Amino acid sequence: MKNKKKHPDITFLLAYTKKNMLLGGLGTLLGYLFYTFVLHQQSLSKDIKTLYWIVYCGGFLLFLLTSIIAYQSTHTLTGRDGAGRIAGRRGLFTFTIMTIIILALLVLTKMISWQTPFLVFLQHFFSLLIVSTFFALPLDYGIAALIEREKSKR
Amino acid sequence: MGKKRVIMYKSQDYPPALLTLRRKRSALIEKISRIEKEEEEILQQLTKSQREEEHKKQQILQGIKHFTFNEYAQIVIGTCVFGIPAIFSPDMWDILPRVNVMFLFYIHLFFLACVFLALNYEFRDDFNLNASFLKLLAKRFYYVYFSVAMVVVLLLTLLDKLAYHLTMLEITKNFISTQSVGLFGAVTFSFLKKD
Repeated sequence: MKNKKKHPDITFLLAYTKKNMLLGGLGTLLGYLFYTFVLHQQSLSKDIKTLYWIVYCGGFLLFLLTSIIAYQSTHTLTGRDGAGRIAGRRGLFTFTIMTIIILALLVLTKMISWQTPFLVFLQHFFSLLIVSTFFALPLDYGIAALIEREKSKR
Repeated sequence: MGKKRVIMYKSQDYPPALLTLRRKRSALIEKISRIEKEEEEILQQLTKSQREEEHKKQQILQGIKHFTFNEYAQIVIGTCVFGIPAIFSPDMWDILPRVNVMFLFYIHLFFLACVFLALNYEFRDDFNLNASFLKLLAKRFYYVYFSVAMVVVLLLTLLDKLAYHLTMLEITKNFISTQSVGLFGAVTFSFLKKD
């Protein structure tokens, strides 16, 4: 008989806890600082269609990444608790937290107001979403996983 | 030290007072055993009804917990069937520029509370909120809100109400009002489906 390949237990990655929420929020904040002080002008000069494409492709890649993580845990891609379903749900929570924080930061720092054109808002929003993803996701998944590993070692 | 005197009677020689006491005692024992039997029956019924209640609660929990693709499709259809007539009518867009955005926002919050209560009623047949269901209901409400938002964004784009040249004020007004209408449509459809 062949030995079955043992999958690592990463079920904890799929749960969205307060810790994940805080780390995701912190990542978004770091992304915002990076965007404001380093990338501001470069991002705004990008065409809106380019930004759309980056966001869509990035979102799809993230979905695939989360699906792989979820597959490692559930060993199924389809069905009621399949990897795709879990990945979509997990990604939705992260996306919502990032969106809320980005909107709050844009309003609080007066980067947008009632009279701002929608195009400018979208440029800010998409650029921030792309930059924040690089900070928020490693913190959300990575640091949460490290904390969990340390906890299980003890 | 005086010894205790024990008087032994034969059954036919029992004094009448002792006989009455014995009769009362046996009647009491009978009564107690009857009560114990009744108590046991009641306890059995209680555990049965408790089990049924627990089963019902589990069923409700499963219903709230799993947001299936079928339900998503129903929400989309509900939003379209009940929302489109209002969204496509020119009256709505004529009124909107004159309405204060904060007023719209407060109305939207009120509608959200109503939809939350309606969702609670849909699953539990009870208007009172239960703490053990709140978290799951909030999650479900979030899924419903997001599903409706996806349809609403498409409809607004179709009507050119999310154009790049519009200001944030106009966009917010358009989105909030349409989202309220869409949410009502989605919840109404699920109510109709239930009955």
